[in-house]
Amino acid sequence: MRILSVIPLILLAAGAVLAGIAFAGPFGNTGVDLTLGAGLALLGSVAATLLAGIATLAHPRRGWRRALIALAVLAALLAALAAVFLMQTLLAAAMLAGAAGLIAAPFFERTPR
Amino acid sequence: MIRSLIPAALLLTATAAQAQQDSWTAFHGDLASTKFSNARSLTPDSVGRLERAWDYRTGDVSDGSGDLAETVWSATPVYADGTLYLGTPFYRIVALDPATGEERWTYDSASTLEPLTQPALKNRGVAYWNGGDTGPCVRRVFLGTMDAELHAVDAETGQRCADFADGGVLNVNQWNTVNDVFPFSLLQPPLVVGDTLLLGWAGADWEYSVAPPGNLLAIDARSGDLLWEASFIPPEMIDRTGTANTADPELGLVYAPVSSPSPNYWGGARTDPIPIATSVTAVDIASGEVAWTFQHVRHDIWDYDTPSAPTLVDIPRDGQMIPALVQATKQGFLFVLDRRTGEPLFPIEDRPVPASTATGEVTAPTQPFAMTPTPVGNPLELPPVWRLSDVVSLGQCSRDREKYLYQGIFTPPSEQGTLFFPGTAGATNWGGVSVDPDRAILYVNASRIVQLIHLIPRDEYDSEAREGGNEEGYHPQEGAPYGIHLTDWSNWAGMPCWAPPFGTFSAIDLTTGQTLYEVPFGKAQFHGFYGLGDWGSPTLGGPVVTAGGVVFIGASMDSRVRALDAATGRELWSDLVEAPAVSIPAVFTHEGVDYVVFAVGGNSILKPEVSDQAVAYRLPR
Repeated sequence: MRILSVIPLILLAAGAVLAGIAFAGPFGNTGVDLTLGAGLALLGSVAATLLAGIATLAHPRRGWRRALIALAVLAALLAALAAVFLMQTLLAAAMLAGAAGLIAAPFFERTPR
Repeated sequence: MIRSLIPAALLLTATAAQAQQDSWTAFHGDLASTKFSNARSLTPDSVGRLERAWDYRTGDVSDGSGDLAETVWSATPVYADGTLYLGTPFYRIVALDPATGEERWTYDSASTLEPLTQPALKNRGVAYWNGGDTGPCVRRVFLGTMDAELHAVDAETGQRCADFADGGVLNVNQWNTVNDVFPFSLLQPPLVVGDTLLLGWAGADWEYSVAPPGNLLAIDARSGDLLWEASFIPPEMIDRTGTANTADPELGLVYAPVSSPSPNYWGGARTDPIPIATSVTAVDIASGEVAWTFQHVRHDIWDYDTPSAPTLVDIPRDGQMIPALVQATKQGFLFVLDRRTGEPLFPIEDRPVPASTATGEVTAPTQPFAMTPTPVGNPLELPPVWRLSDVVSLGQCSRDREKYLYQGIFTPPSEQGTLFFPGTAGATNWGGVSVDPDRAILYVNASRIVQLIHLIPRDEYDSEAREGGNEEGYHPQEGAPYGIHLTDWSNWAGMPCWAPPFGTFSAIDLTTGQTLYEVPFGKAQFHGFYGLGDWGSPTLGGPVVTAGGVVFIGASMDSRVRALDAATGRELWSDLVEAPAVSIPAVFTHEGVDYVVFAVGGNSILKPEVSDQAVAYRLPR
């Protein structure tokens, strides 16, 4: 496992935590707690994290891996879009960065000779 | 009776004195309802540094999911003689240290917590009286309850004032002797003019044809004795007189925003003119005699009841200062009158309006249109269908637009279904306007909500309403040939069918009547998602303007309290609070420091969030 593959996963996981905080409001009012919108953002961020985690950590075959990454990117982008309209800037940034990392990571991975 | 003219110099002196206040001793800050604060440290340059001074929870909140009905807390905090007083929707009084938010005392009225006349437990705060003497209970806080009790409490100790009425509690319902189908609910604090408490009441909207006659009560603040009762519409019926009043002690007049008659949406049983209904009416404070009245809706069948206290301001004209009154209305018209006589200061046009097709209804052929100042919220033009909402609903909104009746403002309710704009919450509501008296500039927030109203024949109403009831928009208007179904005009997903903006904020020069700006205000919020900046938000609550050139306002759906640049309407600062701050803030100076305090109660009309939060802001020390 290479560090570049793990960074997007960490970002998405952080996004899922932020989405959980936005939805549940454990540290106070977020302005969107217990709303459908925050629930959808949480769902999207958790889905992106799980899909990216499976793709990164479970070592699926290349075709499966690409499909999982594509779905993870889609979920992350939708969660980011939701976060923009929920005015959750950090969450949006985390999901966008995670999605970008998922797309970019393969280009930086060196193929063993 | 038309009162004789009072020398302008006297009036100028009175108005200036009202405006130069550092306290906030009444619902609208002062007797003139200017909602103007003399706080000068709060300027467009400084408010970006505002910070929370304290955050206090009353504990008196219900979301309606348990045994108690939902709470609607719209109190304006009252600051007087170094203490901040809050009324709560559980009908308690809380006295706080304005600098720290620490409790000094609390008082529990032990009132019933049943929504006897309203769908929710409501409170808009308390009133303060200073008797000017020494001894116990020379300064009093008055609290009204849903079950028609007025409590008098010592402002120092929180103990009942035994010399007021029956051991400190006045049963106002003793004067509810005609058509007493519901109690006189005291949700709005009384207006205190000298030693007189001026008291209106709230009832049950939309439910009955027959209701108690509208009246205004004058009560002795020391004894609780009834001084006089002004019956506005005897023996007809009216559903409330309970919004705030305004007074000019120099003229000896109280200005009452009078409600519409019952039933609200069908007037076939009251076709004779009722000149004082849906009016602003001046009443002699000493005697209770009506001095003049100005009716701004004839034969009201839209519940366009006068929603807010009029605001008093002196307007320069032809080298003289004219003592004026501005009455904001649900229609979006701002009527500017000479407050001595009720004569309009800008032209008012009588325009033909559509006739009704409902059984027995006889609509007024014309209605008064105040085109100067420019109406707020563009009420004369139905907003176009919102393309986004129309696409989402596969054209439902466009089909609705063709299907339902709309012939301009004052289109009567119909069996076919009428698009109703401005809707029943109005372009403006009880928050009213604020005025900078030095500049004669008016500030006002307005909503743009389109509703859909159906008249349902009585023999069909019960079977239709059985499915939904009040929460689904059904109201019986018992005794009338029609019940009603009233909802926002929305698509299957709950999105508004009309195009934004949903709310605006305006500044108007009262000297010329010209609008200085009208900008979208706040952010709409649906299922947590915020609307775009130019969509604006419907609002409930009112603004306060300061001498430093800043407007403070909550009122929007997005649970923010804001400071705006009074010169441009631009947002300078905001803070997220627990629920929509459906209230008017109090702005005052305590120990040399300017404070802004909001009661944050929420209101399900905007979104289903409630709170018991009071939050205070000040500049860093």
